[in-house]
Amino acid sequence: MKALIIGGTSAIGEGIARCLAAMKYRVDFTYHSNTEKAKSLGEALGDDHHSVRVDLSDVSEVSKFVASLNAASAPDVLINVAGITHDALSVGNIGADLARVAQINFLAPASICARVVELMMPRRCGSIINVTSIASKMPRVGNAAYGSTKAALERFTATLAIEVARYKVRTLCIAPGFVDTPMFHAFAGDRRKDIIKNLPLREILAVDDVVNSVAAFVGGKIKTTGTTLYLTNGQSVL
Amino acid sequence: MIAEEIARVAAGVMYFDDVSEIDFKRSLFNDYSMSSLDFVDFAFELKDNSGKEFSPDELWPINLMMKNPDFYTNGEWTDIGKEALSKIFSDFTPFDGANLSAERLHEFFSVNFIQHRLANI
Ligand SMILES: NC(=O)c1ccc[n+]([C@@H]2O[C@H](COP(=O)([O-])OP(=O)(O)OC[C@H]3O[C@@H](n4cnc5c(N)ncnc54)[C@H](OP(=O)(O)O)[C@@H]3O)[C@@H](O)[C@H]2O)c1
Repeated sequence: MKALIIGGTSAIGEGIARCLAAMKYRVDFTYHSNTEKAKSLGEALGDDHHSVRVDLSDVSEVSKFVASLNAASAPDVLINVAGITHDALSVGNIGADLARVAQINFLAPASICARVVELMMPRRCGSIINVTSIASKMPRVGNAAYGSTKAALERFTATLAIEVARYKVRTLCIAPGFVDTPMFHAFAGDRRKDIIKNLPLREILAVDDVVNSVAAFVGGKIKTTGTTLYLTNGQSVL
Repeated sequence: MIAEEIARVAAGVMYFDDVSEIDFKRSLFNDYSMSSLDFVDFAFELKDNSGKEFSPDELWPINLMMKNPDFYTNGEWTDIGKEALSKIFSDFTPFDGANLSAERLHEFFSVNFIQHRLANI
């Protein structure tokens, strides 16, 4: 069984890669700038893996990558983890920033999903997980671009699910609240304590909390498709 | 593949109780409301049953051809497009060439056409 992780060098992506390798998947992954991490993760995964550098902000690189996927290399499990935050007011000339966030967080993973399901459909099995965020449901000052791209990915995944359900390809979005990763550290800076104080649970998620949900879905312990699983820090997501 | 087998696959995909509901000359799209999802499912099943390698777009290449400006442009088939169409339907149905809209072409998507198409893929 093969898994493909888009963004294997993210903290969450690395956790998922190691977990799926332990579940006996052959894990392939993409990375962008973190060649060190790509190398160390590659070594940890052993010889039987493949990693490739793809800049998801570059439409032609994404197209090339998508075109390189074929029936022989097609994964049984696809996980889109790569993503960027963008914290800014939605006032003024936001076009370029919005386009970049949308390309990385929505258009690239959606295009990759579309190609991978095409390869999964004739086999009549497959699992797709898109890592989104509770920001899709929780407007906050500064999170319009990030939240709306995550909402778009959830919406896309929900429709994709009904289009491919006939072929036993299942989809799930996993939408975490704050997770203890470099992305959260960069966002929180020296406000970490304040942020945690204001969370209902007064704790943030560990990478393993996300990884466990992935393992449960991939391993068939969560039977669903087209839905979003919100892993919150106590916030209510309605 | 024989027509009866093709009809059985179509009936299975569309959840018909009885394969005899399908007239081999009638359009699966227009007369039996085969949906786009049914069509892809049907193509996969035919592939498995026939042992031939083809994609859904090869079974019914019209949609793809209509996206190619060499074949179809400004709502009309080009001369090259018409020639390609007549190749697909040659020995199956004579073309009057007058109305070649997608809906009209859908009328040809019958069990008999698929049998002809599979023999030529
Ligand atoms: N951490 C949180 O609190 C949190 C909460 C909710 C949702 N999430 C979501 O969870 C996912 C992973 O988050 P994380 O905290 O593990 O992230 P992270 O450690 O910051 O990693 C970000 C990932 O995105 C990749 N990436 C960034 N820009 C890219 C580009 N232009 N092209 C290709 N890849 C690019 C990075 O690749 P390189 O490192 O190789 O450059 C890295 O793999 C993201 O989708 C994020 O939105 C995180």
